[in-house]
Amino acid sequence: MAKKILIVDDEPDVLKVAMFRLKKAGYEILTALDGQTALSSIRNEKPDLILLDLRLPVLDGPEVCKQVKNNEELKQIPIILFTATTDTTAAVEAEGLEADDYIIKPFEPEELFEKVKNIIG
Amino acid sequence: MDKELIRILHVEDDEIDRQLVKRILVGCSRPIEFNIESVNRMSAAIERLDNRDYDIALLDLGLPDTSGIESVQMVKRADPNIPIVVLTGTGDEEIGLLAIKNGAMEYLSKGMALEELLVRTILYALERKKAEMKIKETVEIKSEFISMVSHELRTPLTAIKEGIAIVLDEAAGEINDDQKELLDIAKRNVDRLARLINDVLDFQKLSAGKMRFDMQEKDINEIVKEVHKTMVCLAKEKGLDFSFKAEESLPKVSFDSDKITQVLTNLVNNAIKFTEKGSINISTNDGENKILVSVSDTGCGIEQEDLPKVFRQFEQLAKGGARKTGGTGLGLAISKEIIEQHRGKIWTESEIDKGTTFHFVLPVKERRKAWRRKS
Repeated sequence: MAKKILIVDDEPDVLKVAMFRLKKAGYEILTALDGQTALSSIRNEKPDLILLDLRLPVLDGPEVCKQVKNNEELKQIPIILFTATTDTTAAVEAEGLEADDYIIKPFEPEELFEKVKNIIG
Repeated sequence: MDKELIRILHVEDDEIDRQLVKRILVGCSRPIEFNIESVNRMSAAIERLDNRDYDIALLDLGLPDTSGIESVQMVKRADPNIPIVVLTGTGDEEIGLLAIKNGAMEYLSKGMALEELLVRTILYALERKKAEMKIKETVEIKSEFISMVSHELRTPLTAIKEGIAIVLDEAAGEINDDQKELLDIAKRNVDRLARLINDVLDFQKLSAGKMRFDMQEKDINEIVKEVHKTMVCLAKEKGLDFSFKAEESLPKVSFDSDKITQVLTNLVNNAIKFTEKGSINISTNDGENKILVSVSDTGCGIEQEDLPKVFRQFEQLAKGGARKTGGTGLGLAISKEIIEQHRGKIWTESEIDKGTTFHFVLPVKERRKAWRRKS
């Protein structure tokens, strides 16, 4: 079965384009535009990786991250955080939220590609 | 009628002068109430400035614990925004002018007709300060706006750029030659737009003093060598010789490697761009208390009258400008900011049809300022 990657961003174009090559390589790409939809998608679809923007409508990114990492059933799903803040605060934030990695916006698609490959192979 | 209240910190150790100022201000016929607090030492003045708000400082330059210009500098450090009016001894014009150069609003010599001048000078200084703050605020709003806009532009651009790259790589299916040609043009222009946005952001950050510098003591030859190595191919493609003449055993200087690499890359890039035949050379030299790096070419050269323009923003001297060279018009303006924030200097020499040399120096040791040693 194809591995699933869930993109959670209210402006998902950049991520979608960046993930196009993975889609071609056989991964299934899912998207959610807000935190609430993301959570139900995570529960139903059990993706292999979550790309999560910190700023989201309805339910924001940190809350989604917490709920996933505090859930016995979901917490092993790796999460890459997207943030627009500076390097150091992003690192601290990612660690505090127990995310697996983080990327600062705007980013180069190759950077994301590398991180995704590192996590789900 | 409500009187306007003006809070004054009067720094003066001479009792007679203090009384004189007080008498003039209290006796003022305008609808202004002066609230005067007097101190007779700089140390006391700084303590007050730390704890209270004043509208203006009247400052005597002959205090027991500081004197002259140092007094102005100390008040400025304690409260960078307070307008300062300096009171000097009779006939001491020179020190008064020097005080203004160091940030005082105005000076009054105690020999002048203070009765008439003092109140007017205070009011004038306050108005001027207001105008200055307004300008400062406007500049800040402008630079925040530029930074925000540039940031917002980058995200959609990333999507466009990667979309084009995927189609060009034929990762989304085969494309024909016409499609490829058009997408190549789109890609080239998106890349240029991205460079422009990055440069605007960089320049904005630099000139607002918001760029962080990672300063480390290093041998400059290391990074010059690196830049030479990465750019020698580009020069060769154009049939140019590119040499590096390093002065061995240079003293170490403190600099941000990425930023100086950016400057060097920019200078070499320009040299290659504007040179059709001949050679490019980088050299390093030991100056007194500084190191000198020079990038020279045998290119078209720059008119003498245009030399002062080269470091200005968006100044493209080449005919055809950005279109021909693919530049953003910000490279040298950014380089100048970077070098100056290293406390260095950058300049250029050129002769038409002979070539151009850009030099920059970086100081070997940051010189301590005199007041730091004293305080």
